Amino acid sequence: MEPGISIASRPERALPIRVNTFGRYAQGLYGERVHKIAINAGFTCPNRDGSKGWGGCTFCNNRSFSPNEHRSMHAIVEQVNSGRAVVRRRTGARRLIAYFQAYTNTYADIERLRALYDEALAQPDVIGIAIGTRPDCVPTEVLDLLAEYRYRGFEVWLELGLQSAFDHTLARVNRGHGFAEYRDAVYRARARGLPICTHLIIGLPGETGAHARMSLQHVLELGVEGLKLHPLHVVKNTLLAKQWRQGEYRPLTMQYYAETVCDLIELTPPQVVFHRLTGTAPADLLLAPDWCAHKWQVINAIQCELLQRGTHQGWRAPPFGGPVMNRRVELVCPAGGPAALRAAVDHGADAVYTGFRDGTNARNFPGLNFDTDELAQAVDYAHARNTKVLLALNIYPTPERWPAAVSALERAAELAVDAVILADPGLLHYATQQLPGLRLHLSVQGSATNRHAIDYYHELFGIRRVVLPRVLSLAQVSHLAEQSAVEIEVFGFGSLCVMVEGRCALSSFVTGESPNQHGICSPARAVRWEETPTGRQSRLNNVLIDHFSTGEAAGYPTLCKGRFLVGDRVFHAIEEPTGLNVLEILPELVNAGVAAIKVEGRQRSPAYVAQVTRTLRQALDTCLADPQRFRVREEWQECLQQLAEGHTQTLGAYSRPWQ
Amino acid sequence: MRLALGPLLYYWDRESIFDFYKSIQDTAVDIVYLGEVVCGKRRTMRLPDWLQIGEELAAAGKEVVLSTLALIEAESELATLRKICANGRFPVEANDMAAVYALAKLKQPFIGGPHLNIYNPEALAMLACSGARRWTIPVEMSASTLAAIQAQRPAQIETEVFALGRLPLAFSARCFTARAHGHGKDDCGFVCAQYPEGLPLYTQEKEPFLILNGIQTQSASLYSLVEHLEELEQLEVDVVRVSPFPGQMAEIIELLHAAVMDTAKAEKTAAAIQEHLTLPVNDGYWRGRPGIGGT
Repeated sequence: MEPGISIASRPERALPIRVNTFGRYAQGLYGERVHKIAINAGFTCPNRDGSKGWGGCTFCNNRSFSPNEHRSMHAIVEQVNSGRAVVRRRTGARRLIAYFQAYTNTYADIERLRALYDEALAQPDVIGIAIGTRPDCVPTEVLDLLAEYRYRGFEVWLELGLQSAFDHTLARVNRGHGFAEYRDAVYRARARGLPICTHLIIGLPGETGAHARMSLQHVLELGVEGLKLHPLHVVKNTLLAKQWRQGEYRPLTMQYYAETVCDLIELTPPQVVFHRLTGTAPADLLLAPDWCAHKWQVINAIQCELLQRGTHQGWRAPPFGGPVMNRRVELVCPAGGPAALRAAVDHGADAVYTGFRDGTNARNFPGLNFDTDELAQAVDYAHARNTKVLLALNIYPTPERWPAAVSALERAAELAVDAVILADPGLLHYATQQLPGLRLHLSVQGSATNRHAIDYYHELFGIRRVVLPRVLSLAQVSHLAEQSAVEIEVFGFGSLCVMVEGRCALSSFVTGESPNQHGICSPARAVRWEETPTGRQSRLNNVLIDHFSTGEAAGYPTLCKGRFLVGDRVFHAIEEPTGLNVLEILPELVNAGVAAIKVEGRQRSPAYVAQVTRTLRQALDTCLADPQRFRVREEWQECLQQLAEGHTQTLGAYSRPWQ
Repeated sequence: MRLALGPLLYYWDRESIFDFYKSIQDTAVDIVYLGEVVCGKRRTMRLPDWLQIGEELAAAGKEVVLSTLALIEAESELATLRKICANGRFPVEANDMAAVYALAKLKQPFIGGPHLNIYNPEALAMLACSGARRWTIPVEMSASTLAAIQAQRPAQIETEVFALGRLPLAFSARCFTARAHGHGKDDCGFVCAQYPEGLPLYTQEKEPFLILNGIQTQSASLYSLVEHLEELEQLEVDVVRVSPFPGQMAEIIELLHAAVMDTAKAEKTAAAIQEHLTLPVNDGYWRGRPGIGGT
């Protein structure tokens, strides 16, 4: 038992330690309690009025899901007001989410829905809406409307009643939809960055705990942000009640329910939010099981079961839980041109990243990158060899460069690249509006170094992956990988950027061209080498970056890697010319659950790309096969040492002492 | 145009900070940004201290804004951020998308700081959607780019320009002041407190180049748009920001205020301000050239 916590008396205090409850999620986000109030907007259900089916689900007497039905005849404003008063008296919560619960809350024309939702959101203290509906009843314009509320900063949850992933069970309870409709709704909602809370019922006719666990796996594979679990209860005036009376349906015991819920909690990745772990029905309607009437007893049973097992949410989740591209760690390699692309693909990259030759990406170097035809061929080459192609389009376009950036984005989508890597919120928005379905990765230039920043891009634009700036420690990377709803990509090898990417204007300060606006740092055209009696010196737009004594190896004058005078010392005051190499901590990165490891260096030669890719492929495969017994091999280290900038290597910010 | 005093970027002791903002009360500045933007480890000033200074400045008729960190990594920094965002008294300047996220969730209208990387009207519209009522242009933005954005600026969002001060050029995980002292960031010993005006970095030819200020790198020279105030006004800029730098800030604010009030005479005031400045100036960014270049 956790020290200092009395489970028996305050189960609601102990639960959030082991489970990412909605309360814990809201507290983390808003710093205070947030409560949902149920709204009945007078909808019906397409499974009742004949448009999808007649009679509804066999277990449904909707009054049993709507504890406050007496409020349903009132306007939304009155329902919010009376709900607010109750919530504040009982829990002290000041922030509210209007939960459109009863029946199918997207079953009306869009203008009526907008009016209803707007009315709820206009009420004081209401910070968001949760919309309960069926997976076969979420028209795209409704999803667009919900996405619009998210743009405006509201908390929005789309609650999809799936109940089971088994089509034969769904048919048996006359649900009127199958898993395919759910999958379709999830894809369309995800494309708009809408968080989904999926409802599952435990104990449906013909189902056991094993069915619930498999349903959960199907839901997790598609990706989900929230879950609601309910026991199936038998209520009056339903077909299920008749079946129960005739002995055709036997309800679960409370212990069996609690055990199954704990199984599901253990299998669910830690970042998924549990909105509910059980449900109750009004006493005058409930027939069986009788324990359903006592919510806290059920919660208590779940809590005790978790404590006895000594487990918590995510205990048995797959190592790279959440909506991942595939369940392994991808090796993402640089392709500055067609030859380098072939080198990366041939030597074992899982994905290559490229850019157009139009100044729209962060390696705007002369002679690098692809034109449209070259990229089309490159995509064919890579796809034929089962390698993904990611396209970097990570400048922040000024109005002057906007048309070029948009054109690049559209061409990338046409060429069916596997994802585009963007940084600019304007371009991200354009992609979500004009090119839905295009997979979006947030570039390292997006400077997202914490979970709220990642959440911002995820919720607004539905990004699926974030490339982390090279400023976080290993512990911080692990924390983000655990907390984040999107995949995490980290830099593993190559030149080291000492500044937060996207937050450095040193290059434009000296040369007029910056990574943000022009996709370049310390451009070669601004470099001047000079021979002096005491050695060589390098200048960047006339500013002296370094002086090398005779015989000393002279490196490229990247301006943060020069030697400067601070106090009375001349030294590498910002950073040495050194390369990043994470081989040493590969098992930690793998165990942390990062989705991809990236190699820097689109400006490098095909031979370099081949060697680095081959070496890292071997290392990563060895590590993935058995992370616990992974040892860095000498030949890998020797090869990478030869190739590293300045022939020296560092763990960079992953290691605290470096910072 | 209104005049804003940007957040204090150096690490001073409490008394000096309280004294400094007392001296600001009687100046003509309209808006004052308060709070720590550079380093989450600097903790001599807590939120209640900033709120106290804020109340005093508000009583003196200033619009007060609470600034937030530009680089947020730790959960503790996020917790502080959420506290600032939920302060309930003063609006907040977001310097990271984490702040934008937190403020949008709280439905608090906010000010976008210079580190948010807004480079086009489409991105600005997204920021406005999230609740920004003012944005600050990135320091490297040129006049012609700003003109193009202003032409398509969403309604009801004000534009602020960093117009006088050392350029905040870069942030890093690494503390460069600690590095110069041979320390790591984890045991920095708060050496940045020894440099109330930052630690100068020179080229090997002894040319002043950059200023190391903890994890931040600034320009050694001052960015000054004093000569361009008339152009700022034509571009419908709403707020002009001066960032605290070594020198007689109160006097400089008075001169700058006079210049802002009567931009036609800005050239004359520029000369007067120049006399008060002990540092060389640059305006290359505004002209679409390397930032280091001067007039």
